[in-house]
Amino acid sequence: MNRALLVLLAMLLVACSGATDAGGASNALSGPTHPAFTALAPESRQNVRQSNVHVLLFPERFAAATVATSGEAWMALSARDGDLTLSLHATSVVHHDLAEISPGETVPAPAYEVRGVPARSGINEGIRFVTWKQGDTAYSLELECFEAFADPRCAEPGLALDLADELVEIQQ
Amino acid sequence: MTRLSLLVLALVSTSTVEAQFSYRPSGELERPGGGTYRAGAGRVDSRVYAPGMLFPIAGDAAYANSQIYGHGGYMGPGGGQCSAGNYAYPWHDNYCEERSWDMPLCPGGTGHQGQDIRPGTCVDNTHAGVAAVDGTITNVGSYSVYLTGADGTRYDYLHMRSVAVSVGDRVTRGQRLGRVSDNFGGTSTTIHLHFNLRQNVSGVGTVYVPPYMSLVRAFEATVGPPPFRATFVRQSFPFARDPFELAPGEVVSGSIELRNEGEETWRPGEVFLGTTEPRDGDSAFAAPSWPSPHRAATVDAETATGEVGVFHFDVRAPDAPGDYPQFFNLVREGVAWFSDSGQGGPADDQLQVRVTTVAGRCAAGADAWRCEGTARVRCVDGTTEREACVGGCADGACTDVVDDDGDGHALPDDCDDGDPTIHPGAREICDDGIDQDCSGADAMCVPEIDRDGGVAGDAGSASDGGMATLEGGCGCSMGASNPSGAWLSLLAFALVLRRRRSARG
Repeated sequence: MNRALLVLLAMLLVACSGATDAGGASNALSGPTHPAFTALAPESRQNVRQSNVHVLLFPERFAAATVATSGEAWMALSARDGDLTLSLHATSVVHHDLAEISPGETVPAPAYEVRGVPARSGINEGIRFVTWKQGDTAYSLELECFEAFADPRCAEPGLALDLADELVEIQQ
Repeated sequence: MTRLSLLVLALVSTSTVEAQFSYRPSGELERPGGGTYRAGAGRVDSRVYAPGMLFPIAGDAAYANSQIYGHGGYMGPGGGQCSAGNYAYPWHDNYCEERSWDMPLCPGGTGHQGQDIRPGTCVDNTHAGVAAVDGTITNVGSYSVYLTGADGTRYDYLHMRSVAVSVGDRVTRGQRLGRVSDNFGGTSTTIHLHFNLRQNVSGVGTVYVPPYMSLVRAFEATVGPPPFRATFVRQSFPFARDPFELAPGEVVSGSIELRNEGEETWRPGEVFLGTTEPRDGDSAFAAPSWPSPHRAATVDAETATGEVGVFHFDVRAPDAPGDYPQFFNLVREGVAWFSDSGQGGPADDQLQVRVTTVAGRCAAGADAWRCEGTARVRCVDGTTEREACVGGCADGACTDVVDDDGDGHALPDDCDDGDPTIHPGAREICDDGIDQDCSGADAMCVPEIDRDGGVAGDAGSASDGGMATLEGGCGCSMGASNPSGAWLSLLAFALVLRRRRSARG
């Protein structure tokens, strides 16, 4: 009996240890116990659970300020960090094919890489963006600075690229 | 009615006409300094990426144009942002306007990525920015509001103040999101809405797609289409950029098809394809079938809104070699050109046919042989192929090419076209009664004369068994069966011998 209890305790310890690892600050595949998820407001957690697209979350330090929304074929995050606004959009809908809208044309190859895949980065009206595709989902991470062109967090691609790498992948 | 009231009426009428919506084609950017247009750097794209969306600014007046190249812009023609010129139609596309921002869908690889729209008046924080579709507010930044529709399309509203929504709000089409302003975070811009459409394009990824035509259609749904508007469907003539080479005087038939997108129905005899740039100029390639030298054709049938009208016409290549471009536009005779203010276009410099007359080129379609004098000719890929006919030409065929016996010679040169051994140049056999070489008579066999004056065969060698062949025309050659001929031959032989002996002596 005591022996059986010891085995059970050992199994629980292993299980708890695994949960602790998964809850660390990592962008590896994580369960819904990850703080990047658990620190979200209940409505945001619900929207994440309902997402039909592959979920990436902001790192834990932004979680409390993050609002997550989702629809049939898209998911979005928005967070404020002082004078910086972070936004992530993901969709599994392919709205158009390049060959259809620009027959015979090619576009420049992506100049960056995030999360192990090619990525594009640019600026739209002062808003820095990084876009990439993972599986069948297209992602766009955007950073909006109050001082649009003077703030290097938006004027330069570095922070956006780093944040894209830091996003936490949640297994639903 | 007094003169004053008439004047007032006229002014109101003019004002109303000028306020009617019109727009320049997609891809046509404003030139630095304003006023004219810069082609080539914009993205020509008539696709409506967000069909059915509501125009994102409330009210029945809005002006899509450049903030940089407009009045008050740092590259503009002077004045201030509230100059009347900025608050007038037509609209201008500025999706690919010069910026350093990467934009893979723009011809130059960089561009503005969205469309700038001034509200009805130059008053800050007054005109409502409204939801283009039912959707969810997915981000609110220092100067941006993002609305995401059910299909994942994102509608970006930049530079608003008095934002009336929060992230996570579900909004309905037409709901006020904020007010159009000059807000640019820590700085300011002109009073305008920078509007983006963001979609997923395979081969590119999530990207700002051209919003211009979606905005055009949305605004038209608000203010109603103009009386006259056409959009290009197709033309059978080559596009102006492609070669259209014709022979001098060559006539080619073709057509231009346009869709009626205005309110008025087009009727034959009322709506014409007229010459433009300049308007009503006589076309260099007007064909006799045109109603006039500056009207190529009228619409082929009554064409209601949404239907396609066809304009059939001929072009006749001018006689002088050269390049002859010609612009066209539709005109409702006596009422308006489709590019007039208040109408919907196309612009006068959009529809073009360009004929190039090439000297020495033959007319396409004349690929069947035809006679030209004694030769026959035909047209192959614009080049004349000519073939001489020795015996003449009839119905495109040479008449001297019959060679029944296959000996390489035809009548009348071949004196027996049923025998391949008989033809000019054939080996003649004397005294066989046959004229093998078609010289006019059989050759006569005569003794060969040796070098020493002896009769061939007595000592030296000679052909034909010691007999030489005498032949000739003039009726003086005879067959061996002719006794008088034989005597004459012997007489000639004797004379020859005598002359040779005399010479030796």
